[in-house]
Amino acid sequence: MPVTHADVVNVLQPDEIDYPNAARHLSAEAVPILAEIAAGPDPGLASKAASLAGFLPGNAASVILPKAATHPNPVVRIAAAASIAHHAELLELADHLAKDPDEGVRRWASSSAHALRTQTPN
Amino acid sequence: MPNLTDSCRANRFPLSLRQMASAVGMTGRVSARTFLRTARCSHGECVTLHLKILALPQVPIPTMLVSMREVYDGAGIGVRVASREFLTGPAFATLAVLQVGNCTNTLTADQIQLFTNRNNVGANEIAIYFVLATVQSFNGCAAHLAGQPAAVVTGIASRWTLAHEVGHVLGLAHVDDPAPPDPNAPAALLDRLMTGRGTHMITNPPPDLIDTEVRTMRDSQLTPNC
Repeated sequence: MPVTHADVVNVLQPDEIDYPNAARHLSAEAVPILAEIAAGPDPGLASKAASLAGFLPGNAASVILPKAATHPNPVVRIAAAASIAHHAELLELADHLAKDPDEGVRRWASSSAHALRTQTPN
Repeated sequence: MPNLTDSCRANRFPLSLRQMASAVGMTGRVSARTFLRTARCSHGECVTLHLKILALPQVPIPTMLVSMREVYDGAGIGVRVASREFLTGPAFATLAVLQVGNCTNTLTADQIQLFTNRNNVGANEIAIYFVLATVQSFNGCAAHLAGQPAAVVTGIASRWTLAHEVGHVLGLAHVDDPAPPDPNAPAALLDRLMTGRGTHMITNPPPDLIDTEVRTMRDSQLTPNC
């Protein structure tokens, strides 16, 4: 059955999402919808989409996190900055967010960038 | 303000301080401090909260308290706010975005550090920490140290999140887990406080507590007679 926008919103609504379990069962069809939500007007759903992206396999994070990283609400950018820690391919985005005007975003982006650099051999 | 501080007295009497005091049998000049600290209560049992505020949520805290009392009143449990404290300064600015991992019983260093701030919190009382956000992103998280009851409520919380998280602290579990997309997800129970599908989704407010849940809450050491 195709995944709808409403289906994905339902995944993101719980007060305490079980992210690993949601990521395990979410279909790849949900990825573009998550990217749309990550750029959307609801900071609660957008930040959860960014957190979920950190758990998704393949290139899902590369689709979702750049959207969240440009969100006007710093809570969403913080979630994106933190999720990057799981995705070495997004090191450049972490470095970009490390210059964000918001202190919380900078802190989490720097932490992710540091984690990626210490995990990734040169 | 008094009508937001103590449902043991105020929620049922949204009147002036003098009228509220009179309604619970207090006579003469009554200061707000005396009124709030006096033990008399129109409920059988009360839960006592201490609000530790690092960041203000989108839904105002008074709205969350009023919403919580709508639900807890029905269970015969009063909601007392015994203290409010703003936690400010560089250390708390960092903790305002709180690393909670997956909100399990294995606490992070951030949670452990934050939960050491228990000024004024007595035995069998609950500290509620209002933070800007958690990483990962949650509306709230009720994981806490044994013997130090606490919950975290974030900036994206719904009006029912406070009541829901305190429900967890009092021993309640979600009633419709696992949530989608887990193929084993049961039907959502969106008229229940302890739905695991998101308290933003609650229909037909105030949400319900069923008898077994009320019994669990009232049996908790955290709801003594008041």
